[in-house]
Amino acid sequence: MKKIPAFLFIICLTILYCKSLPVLKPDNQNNAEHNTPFLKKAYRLSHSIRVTLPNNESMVAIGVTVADPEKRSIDAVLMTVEGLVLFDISYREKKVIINRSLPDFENNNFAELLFDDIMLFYFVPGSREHESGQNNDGFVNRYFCENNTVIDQIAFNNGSFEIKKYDSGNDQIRTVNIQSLNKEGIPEKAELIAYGFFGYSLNMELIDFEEIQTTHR
Amino acid sequence: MKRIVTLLFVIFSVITSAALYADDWDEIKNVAKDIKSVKADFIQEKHLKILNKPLISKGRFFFTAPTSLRWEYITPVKSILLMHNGRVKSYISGEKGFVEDSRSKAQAMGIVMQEITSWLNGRFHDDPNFKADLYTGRYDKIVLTPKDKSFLSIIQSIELEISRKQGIIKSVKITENKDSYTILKFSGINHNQQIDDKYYRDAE
Repeated sequence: MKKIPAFLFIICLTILYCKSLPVLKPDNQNNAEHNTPFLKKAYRLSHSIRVTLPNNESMVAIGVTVADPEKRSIDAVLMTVEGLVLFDISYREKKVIINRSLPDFENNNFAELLFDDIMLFYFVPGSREHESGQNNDGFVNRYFCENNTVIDQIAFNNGSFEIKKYDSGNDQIRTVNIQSLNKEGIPEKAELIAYGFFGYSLNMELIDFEEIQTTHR
Repeated sequence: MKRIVTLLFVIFSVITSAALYADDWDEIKNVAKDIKSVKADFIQEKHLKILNKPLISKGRFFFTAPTSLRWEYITPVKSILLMHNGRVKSYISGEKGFVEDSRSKAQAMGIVMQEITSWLNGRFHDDPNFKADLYTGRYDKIVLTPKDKSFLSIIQSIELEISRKQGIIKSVKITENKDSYTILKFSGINHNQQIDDKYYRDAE
């Protein structure tokens, strides 16, 4: 019997956390389309990443990413602060390649989840349909993506951004908060929150960046 | 995670215990016995295929025999590992100062205490986990390679470069594979100075 209230509590929490897709009003001046936080060129980026898990455990790692928005390719290495590489993975033509991984991280689902998050963060969503508008939050670019997911990218008047991802039931499953962009248009500090039973958050802070001509591999 | 932490602490132990030059393994044991404390700054270079220049981290460490250790990164990410009186704590810098890292990580660190004691006694040569070779040349070098093949897939070798003239470790190179290695360079090394226990008790 004790399990039932706990189960109901989790459902209530899940419902509370999952917000639904808001309605957009017209954006006649196309403010939204000119104001996005996504990468416009290929960059090599280093971040500190604080990972917080559902049980409130947290760890800090360093991530190096080569992201090419044109090719939609990513190379990513995550390592401990001490320099031990946890995994080294690539994404090419919608395929995940695990170059190196410690036993705790050698899981293809984990790698795919990670690339989904990285792409949400850096790339204009690959969508079959796109519309712009505004709501109470700000100017919104709405992308209708694969598997009937929807991604809203919101630009606020204070220069900050938000990216919200909704599942096929229009329940919000991810939020990315970007406080500001640097002169090159790269997010300096950002937080990604994954909702649901196995929710987690990633707090990312830019350490270094460098524009590159092509992906290195 | 336990394996990762074990590896990290083995690396730290190597660095803190082999701080003085010795001609052979017996002498290393004897020299290690004389080390009461070590304090030094370090620069860590992380070399990766994905990088065109190494990622630089800076920090400092304190060690007092037999098993008190503070390994602290100052840039780019502030983090501290503390070991004192059999307790191991890990801290990361948060918005409100340092906060304790995951409990499982700290618990796992406790498991490697016996391993650390072995290194601190200068027992490179009879360590069950690593094969140790001593090379002499312009600089002397201790090369450690894991005996366990599963360890070998994570770390291929740990090389300690020792200055005979100064009697100190110049650098440590930790090779994961041909595309990934870490070099630690030490400076401002002080041996056998009094180090306040507070450095091992608290992160701040």
